[in-house]
Amino acid sequence: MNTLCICAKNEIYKIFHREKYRIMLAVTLGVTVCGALIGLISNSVISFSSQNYPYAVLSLCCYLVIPFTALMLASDLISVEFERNEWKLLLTRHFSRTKLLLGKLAAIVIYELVLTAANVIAALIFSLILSGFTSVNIFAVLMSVVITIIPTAAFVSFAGFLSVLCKSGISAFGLGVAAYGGVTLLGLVFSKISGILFTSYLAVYKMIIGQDIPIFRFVLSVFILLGFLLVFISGASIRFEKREF
Amino acid sequence: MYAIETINLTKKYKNQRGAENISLTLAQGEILGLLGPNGCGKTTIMKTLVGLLHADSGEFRILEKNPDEELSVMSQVGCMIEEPAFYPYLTAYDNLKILLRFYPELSHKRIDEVLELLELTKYKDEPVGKFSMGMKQRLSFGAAILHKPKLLILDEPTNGLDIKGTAKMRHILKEYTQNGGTILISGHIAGEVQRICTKAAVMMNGKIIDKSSIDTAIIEYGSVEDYYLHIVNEKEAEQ
Repeated sequence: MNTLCICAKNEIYKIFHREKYRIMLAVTLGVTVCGALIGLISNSVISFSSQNYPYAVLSLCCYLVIPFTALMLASDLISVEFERNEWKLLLTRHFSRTKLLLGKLAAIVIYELVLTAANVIAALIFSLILSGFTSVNIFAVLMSVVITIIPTAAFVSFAGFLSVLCKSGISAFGLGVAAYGGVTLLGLVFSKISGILFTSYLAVYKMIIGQDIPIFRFVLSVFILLGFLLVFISGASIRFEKREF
Repeated sequence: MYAIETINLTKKYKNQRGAENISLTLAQGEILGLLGPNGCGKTTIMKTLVGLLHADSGEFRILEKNPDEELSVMSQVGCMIEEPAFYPYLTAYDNLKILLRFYPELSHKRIDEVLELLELTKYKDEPVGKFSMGMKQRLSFGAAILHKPKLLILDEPTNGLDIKGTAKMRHILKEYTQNGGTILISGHIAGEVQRICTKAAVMMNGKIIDKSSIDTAIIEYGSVEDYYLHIVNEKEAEQ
């Protein structure tokens, strides 16, 4: 467990040393703030309820920001390192390849959590200022961010699995975007099978923010996501253990 | 106790090049030089020993343990395989810090010690992406010795180094074995092997065709280069 924590710590260190991921954090925060300011302008073409703004930002994160940044990070930390042989630095050490891989995936999940939490909290602050402290259920918003860890982890494991299959960063990212788009489209076109596609549960937080919480459906959704998480991690680990450098 | 023991170790690529039926032993405190031309299998053996490749058949032990069963033995091994590979956007110091985290018994002072030993202290805060080949090679050696391993596996370690750098590395390796370390080194420059090693093994077409101590090779043939040429010419004549 200690080795896993060290692997994750190293990867987080690497992520935050990459300028593009620091910029991404700043840009998404900027977009969130701009969105709130645009919503303030009366008679604006784009307007939305300030009470729901945190959930709007969280939805955007779940369907767009998290998937794209996860695919980018997975391709950078896995496939690009294959291309550049940077994996050699750690593969010849006294810990298993699976721990290295899990450390990378854990670091990506942590980055996504920081990104999401920063944006949602910024949106929440604007909501509280504009609508008052009693208009927004702060606890529900924060719980929604916490719950989003589960679909985030499932998506990150999917991105990691695809990246392990690819030999280059560009092919990993391209395959990831195509696969995400394809699966989402499949769920939209064939609605009967959407229940078994993990992309249908990316915004699973929506189940807990209403007045009536469908507990059974929520628990089922969580288990489906955990199932996909296990399948993707197992597949990635099996493939990675066999890989030669 | 053998630091490295291989029994009929075989690893072949799709193009049938690689290493075949490699059986060698390296006792503690020895420095074994693998001599051979490019493509003869030296790097293949080293990559198999450190886990970058999976052997097709045969077995090997590192410090009397099978790394597949006891991965912890690799904490006693340091290696340099092929071109140096570091995270180009991190500094030399940060690259070594990432490695040092896995050895909690060592403090950050060890990074400064290693950088000073390899004369890289003034470049420690520069991104490795801006390093020359020789600087990366020195840093790669630093990464191999950072955790004070008992066994070093070095693939052409003087590649890209200038004369001073090569002499420095030779000196460090000699001191390392005097302190009880063991080294497996590969190269195609006989002079380097003669200066650094205590034993030599000649490889050709994926197989070890002869082994000798350096002293015996010098006594019988005058130099390691002449020993190597004699063995290779004899083998080619047989074929």
